[in-house]
Amino acid sequence: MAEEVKASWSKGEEIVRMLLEKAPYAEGTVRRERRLEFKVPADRIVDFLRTAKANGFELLLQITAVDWLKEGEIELVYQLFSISHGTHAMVKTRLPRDEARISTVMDIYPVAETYERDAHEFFKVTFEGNPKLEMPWILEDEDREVGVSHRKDFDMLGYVKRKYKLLDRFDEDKENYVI
Amino acid sequence: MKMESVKIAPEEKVRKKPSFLKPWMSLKYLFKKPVTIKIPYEETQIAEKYRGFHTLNWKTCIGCNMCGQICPARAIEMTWIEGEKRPHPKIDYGRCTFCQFCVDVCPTNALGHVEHYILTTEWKDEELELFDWVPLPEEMVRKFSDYRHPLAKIEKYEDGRVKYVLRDGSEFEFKILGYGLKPPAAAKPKPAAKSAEKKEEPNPGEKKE
Amino acid sequence: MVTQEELIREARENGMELLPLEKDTYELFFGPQHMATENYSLILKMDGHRVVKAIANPGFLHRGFEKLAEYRPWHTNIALLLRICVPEPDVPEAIYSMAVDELMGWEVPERAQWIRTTVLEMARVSAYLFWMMGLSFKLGVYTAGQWAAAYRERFMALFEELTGARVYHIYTIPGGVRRDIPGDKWLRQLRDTVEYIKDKLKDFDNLVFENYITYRRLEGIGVMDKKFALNEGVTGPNLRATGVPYDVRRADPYLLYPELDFEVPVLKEGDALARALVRRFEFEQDLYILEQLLDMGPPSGPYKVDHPSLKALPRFRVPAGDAFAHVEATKGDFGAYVVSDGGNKPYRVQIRGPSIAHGIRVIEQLLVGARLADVPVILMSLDNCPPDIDR
Repeated sequence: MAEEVKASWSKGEEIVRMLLEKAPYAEGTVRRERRLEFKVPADRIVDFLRTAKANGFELLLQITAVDWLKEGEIELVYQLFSISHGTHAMVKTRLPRDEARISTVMDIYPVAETYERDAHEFFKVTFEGNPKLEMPWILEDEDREVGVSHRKDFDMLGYVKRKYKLLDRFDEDKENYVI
Repeated sequence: MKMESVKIAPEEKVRKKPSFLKPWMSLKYLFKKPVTIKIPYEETQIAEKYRGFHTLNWKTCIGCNMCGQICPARAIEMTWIEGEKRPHPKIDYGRCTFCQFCVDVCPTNALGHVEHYILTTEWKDEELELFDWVPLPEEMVRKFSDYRHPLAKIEKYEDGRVKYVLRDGSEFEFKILGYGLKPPAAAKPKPAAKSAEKKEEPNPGEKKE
Repeated sequence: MVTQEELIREARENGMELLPLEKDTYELFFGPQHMATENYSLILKMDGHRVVKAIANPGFLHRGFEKLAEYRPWHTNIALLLRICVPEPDVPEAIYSMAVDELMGWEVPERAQWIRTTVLEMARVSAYLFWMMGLSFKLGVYTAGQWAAAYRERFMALFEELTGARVYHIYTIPGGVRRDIPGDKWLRQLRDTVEYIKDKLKDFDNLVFENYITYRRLEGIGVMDKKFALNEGVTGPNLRATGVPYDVRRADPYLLYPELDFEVPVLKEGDALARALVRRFEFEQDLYILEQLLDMGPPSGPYKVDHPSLKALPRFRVPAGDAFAHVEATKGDFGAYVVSDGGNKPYRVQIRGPSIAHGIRVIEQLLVGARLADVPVILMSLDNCPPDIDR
C-alpha cells in the first residue's frame, strides 16, 4: 500500500540522516513509508543497535537469518520497530557462512536471547556472549545430531526420506512435487 | 496516518467495578434452552460451496498435472487409465488438506468439489481404500445428499481393473495402467504426452539442494 | 533405605541422569500434557507451592514450516503457514499475502481490502472468544467458557459461508481473496451476529469481568513494567496493559484501518488483571469496527488482482527482493519476513509470532515467586500460543 509516497517519505529520511550522523559506518535508505533499511558491518552491529535504541527504536521484533548460498554468506536481519517514530527498520548485516560468528545484542535488547537461540539452532550462527545458546531449544537431540538445519545446503529431502520412508512412490518426478 | 492520531480510551472506560452480586445474574441461563446440537439426531446445515470431496469431469480433464503441482500435501497422483488419452488425478484423502487450490488452478474446470465432507471409517483396510480414489463426475456424487463419501466399495482385480461400487449399487469400472507423469509402457506413447513433459522441465527455482 | 548416591548410580546404569536436588526444592514438569500450557512445557523449580525458577521448554509442535515453505509454490504456502496460529489462522495468511503483494508491487483492489479487513476483525473477535474460553476455564468459571465456545461457533458458521472452511480458511491469497462475498444475506447475518454478541457481552461482564473472584484472582500477579515489557519485545494487549499505546493498526496502518475509528485501551498496572481488561475492551472495539465496516459496505469492483500470473499458480513468480509485513493479532504483533530470489518458490519465509517473546523470557521471569495455582492464569493472561514459538 501507499505506493505513491515511495522513497519520498521525508520523516523517514530525517530519521535515517539523524542515525547516520551518529553511526557513519552504516548505510541507510528509505524503502517506502514506514520501512527503513540499514546495512551495517558485522563488527559494528552492537554499536549501531545501541545508537538505534537510544534514538527511539524500542522494540526488537525478530532476528531473521537468511542463507545466501551463492554468495557464501549468512544475512542477519534485525527487525526493529520504533513506537515513537512509528516506523519499522531492517538492520542487515552479513557474515561469512563458514564461520558465522557475531556478538550478542542481548545486553541492549534482552529479548534477543530468544531470537539468537533460534538463529543458532537453525542457521548455526554463533552469538558470542549468549549464555543459553547451547541449551536445548526446539529440535530433538537425534535431529540435532544429524545436523538438521534450515541452511540451504542441508539435504532436507534426503533427510525426510531416511526418517519417514514415505517418499518412495513419488520418486520419478521428485522435482515437481513438494515434500 | 500519523502516530498522533491514536485515540486512547479513557481509563475509566476500560476499568470495571468488581461486584459480589452480578455473577448471580447468570442464573437466568438455567431457564434457557441449550445451544448444543444433538448429532446425529439433529442435522447441521452445511454451507453452500463448503470445501469437501472432489469431483472430476473425465471428459474435460486434460491431465496437465497443475493440481499435482499446486497440492500442498502431495495428495494428488496422476493415474493413467485405459481408454483415456491423458492421466487423471487420484486424490488421497489421507493427505488432502481440503484447501481446494487444485480446483482453483484447474484450467478447464474439470476438477470441482461438492459439500460432502464426512470422512470417517471404522479403521478397516477396505474402508480406508475408499478415500484414495479418482474422483467421479459431479452428478454421480451429488446423488447422495447425506454428505457422505459416494463409494461403498472398491473392487480391485489382478489385471489392474478397478470397480467402484457406489452406495446406490451402481458400478463404475475402468483399468489403471500406471501412475506418474510419464505414460506407462502399457499406454501407447502419444505425442501430446511428450509436450506435457516439456512443460514441467524449466523450473530454475527448484534447484535447492 | 536406598541412598541418593545409589539412586543416581542406578539411573546412570540405565542410561538416565538424575541430578541431586537442592534442599527444600523440587522440580515440577508443567506440561506438555497440562491443559493450560497448550503443548509446551515449563520446568518449574518449586519451593512448597511457590515457583523459585522457571525454564520454558518449547519444541513439541515444531513442524519446520519455515523450511517447508521453501519447497512449495507461493500460493500453496498459505495452506501451510496458517497452521502457525490456530485460534486466528487468518493472520498468518494476511501477513504473508501482504508481504508478497508488496514484492509484486500490487495495490490490492478496494473490495479485497474491505474483505480482508473484515476477515481479520472477525478473526480477532473469534480469537478473543477463544481466549475468554481459556481464561474462564482457568479461573474456574466454566459456564462463561462454554458460552464463549458457543458464540465462537457463530463466527465459524459465517467463515464457513464465506471461505468454505470452518477453522483453516485458506482464504486470503496474494493479490486479494479467493472468493467473493456470498451475497447480502451474509452481510445481514454478520450484522445480526455482531448485535447478538454485543448483547451477550453484558453477561460475560457480569460473570467474568465484573466478578469479585476474578479481581481477587488476577490482581497483582504477573506484574511487568513498561521498561521491562519494551526490553523483552512484548507487544499487543500485554504491552498496552503496561501503558504503551502501541497498536500496529495505528502505528503502522494497513488495509482499511486508517479510515476506521476505534480507541486503543491503555492501562498502567501491567498485571494479569490489566491484561484481561485491555483484551475485554478491545473485544468490544472490534465489534464496533465490524459495525463500521458493515456501515461502510463492501465497495464494488474485483476481489482479486487481475494478473495473468494468477491463472497458473504453480508458475507464479515473484520478483527478487524482501518485504516485511505485520498486523495486530490478538496476541500481539504478528509479522512475516519474506525473501524472494525470483523463483516460483520463496527463498525464505520467517514468521514472527508474538509468543516467541512472551512465552520464553517473559514467562520465565514473571513466574518467579508465583503460586503454582497462578501459573495457568499468568500463562493465559499473556495469551501464550506455543505454535508461534515452535513453528
